[in-house]
Amino acid sequence: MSFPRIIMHIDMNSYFASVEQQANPALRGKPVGVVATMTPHGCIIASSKEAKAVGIKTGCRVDEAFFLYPAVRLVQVDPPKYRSTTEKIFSILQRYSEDIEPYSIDEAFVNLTGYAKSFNEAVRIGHEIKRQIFTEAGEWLTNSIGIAPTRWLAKFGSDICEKGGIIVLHKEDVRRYLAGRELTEAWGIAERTAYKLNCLGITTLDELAAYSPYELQRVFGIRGYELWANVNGVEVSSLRLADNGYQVPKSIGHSHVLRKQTRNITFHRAVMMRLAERTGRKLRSLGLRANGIFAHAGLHEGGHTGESRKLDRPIEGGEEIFRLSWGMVEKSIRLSAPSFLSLGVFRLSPDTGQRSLLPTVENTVLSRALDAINDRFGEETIVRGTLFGLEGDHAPDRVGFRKTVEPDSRGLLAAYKEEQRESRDISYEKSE
Amino acid sequence: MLVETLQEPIRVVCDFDKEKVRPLAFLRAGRRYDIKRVNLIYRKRLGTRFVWCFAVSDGANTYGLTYDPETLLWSLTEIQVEG
Ligand SMILES: [Mg+2]
Repeated sequence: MSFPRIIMHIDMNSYFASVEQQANPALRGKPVGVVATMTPHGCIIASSKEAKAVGIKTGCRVDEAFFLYPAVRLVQVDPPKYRSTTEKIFSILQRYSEDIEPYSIDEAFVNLTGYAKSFNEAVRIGHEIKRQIFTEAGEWLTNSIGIAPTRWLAKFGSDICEKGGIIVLHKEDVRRYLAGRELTEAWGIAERTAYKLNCLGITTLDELAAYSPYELQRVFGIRGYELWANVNGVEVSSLRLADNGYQVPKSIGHSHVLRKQTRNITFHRAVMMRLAERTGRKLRSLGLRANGIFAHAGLHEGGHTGESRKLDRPIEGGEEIFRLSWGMVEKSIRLSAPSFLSLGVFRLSPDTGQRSLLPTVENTVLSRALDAINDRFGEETIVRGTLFGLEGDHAPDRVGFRKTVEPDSRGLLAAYKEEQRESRDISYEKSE
Repeated sequence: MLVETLQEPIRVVCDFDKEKVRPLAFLRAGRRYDIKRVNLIYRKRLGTRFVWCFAVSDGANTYGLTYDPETLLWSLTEIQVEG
C-alpha cells in the first residue's frame, strides 16, 4: 500500500512578539516591538501583528516606531522564552510524525507521509496541532500551516495562508495559487534572482511555472531547474525529508556577494579559500563526507559560470574543497570580475572513519586540530596561508547556507542566531 | 508600563500537581498576591543548569517568578506594572 506524499509546514505568526504577549496579557492586542536595545537607533527585531498593522515592521528603528505609533510597547528580547516555547511546540509536532525538520526558531516541516492517509486527514491533524499549541504552549500563539505534496509548496502555502489558518495546495491547481504573484513572494527567490528572471520576460510565479525548464537550466544551471520544479510541485529535495528521518543534510555550502568589483585574482582566491574552509569545517563538525562538489560565480557583466561534479572519492577537507571548486570558476573569473562566489558540497554521507587508499592532499588530522583551536579561540584564529591578509569583513559568516537542519549540532540558540543573521541578510540585499 | 527586574528571594505557595506545577500565590512585604493566571512557563539556562521561569498575573500586574530546582528556592525576578 502506498501513501500520498504529504508535507506540512508550520510557521508561527509574529513569533517573538506573540510569545511576549503570551507572557504578559497587558500587551495583547497592542502594537508591540521586540528590541535588542532600547536606544532610539536600536532596531525592532520582531513586531506583533498589531504593530505590523500600523506599519512597524521588522528592521524598523525605535525612533521611527515611536513616530508611527507613539504608544508602541517595546520589550527587550528574551531568547530563553522563545527557545523554551519552541521546544514545547516542536514536542507537540513530534506526536504526529517522527520526521520533523526544524527550519528556524518558529518554523518546521513535518513529513506526514504514511502518518496521514489523505490530505483531509492532514488538515485534521493541523487543527489538532493548533488546539494543542493553544492549550499547552499558550492561547495567544497562532500559526499558519501549509499542506502540500512537496516541501517547497508546503512552505509557500504557509506563507500565503491567512494568519492562523490552514491551506492545502494540491499539485493540480498550483498554477491557480501562483497566478499573478510576485516572484519575490516565493521562498528562495530574492531580488537578484527576480531581476534575472525579469530579463527572461518572467514577472510572476505562474509565468515561471509555465516557462521552459531547459531554458531556465541553461541560464541558471541546476538552480534553474530547481526554480522551475519548485513552482510545479516537483520535489527536488527528497533527501531532506528521507524516510529514515532528516539525519543527513543534502548539501552544505557558503556563498559571498562581493561588495566591490575587482579583478584581483589573489583576492578572489582568498575569498574562495575562506568559503572552502568554512564548508570543510562544517562538514567535519557534522561527521560527514562529501562525494560531490559545486562552485558558481556570478559575473559583473552578467551571466553565471560554474559547474557541479560527482566524485568517486570522498572529500572532507577545506584544502581539497578549495582546489576543486577553484578549478571550476578560475578561468571565467580571470576574464570577468565576479559579483558573487559560491561553493558547496553534496552527496553527503556519514564519515565511517575509513580513509581512502588514494593519497589525499589534505591531512585530516591537521584539519581537525585546526578546528579544535578555532573552536576554542574563535573563528579563524588559525588560517591557511591564502587567508592571511584577507580582511575580516570579506566573506562574513552570515552568508552561510544549509539545505537542511543538522539535528544534533544545531541547537535552538544557533537557530536563533541564524534568524538574526538572516534578518541582516535581507536588509543587506535591499541596500544593494 | 513600568518594568523592574530584581532578584528577591520570595515565599511562594505552589501546587505540584501530578502533571504540572502551578504557583498559586506569593508573599511579599507582608502582602499576599494571589496568582490569577500562569501565562507562560519557560526554562532559562543559568551557567551549567536550568531554572524555571513563570510569567504570572495577579489580575492587575505581571510578575516573573523563578524556581531553581537545585536550591529549591523561589525568587521574584520581574515586575511589570500597568498604567
Ligand atoms: Mg513566523
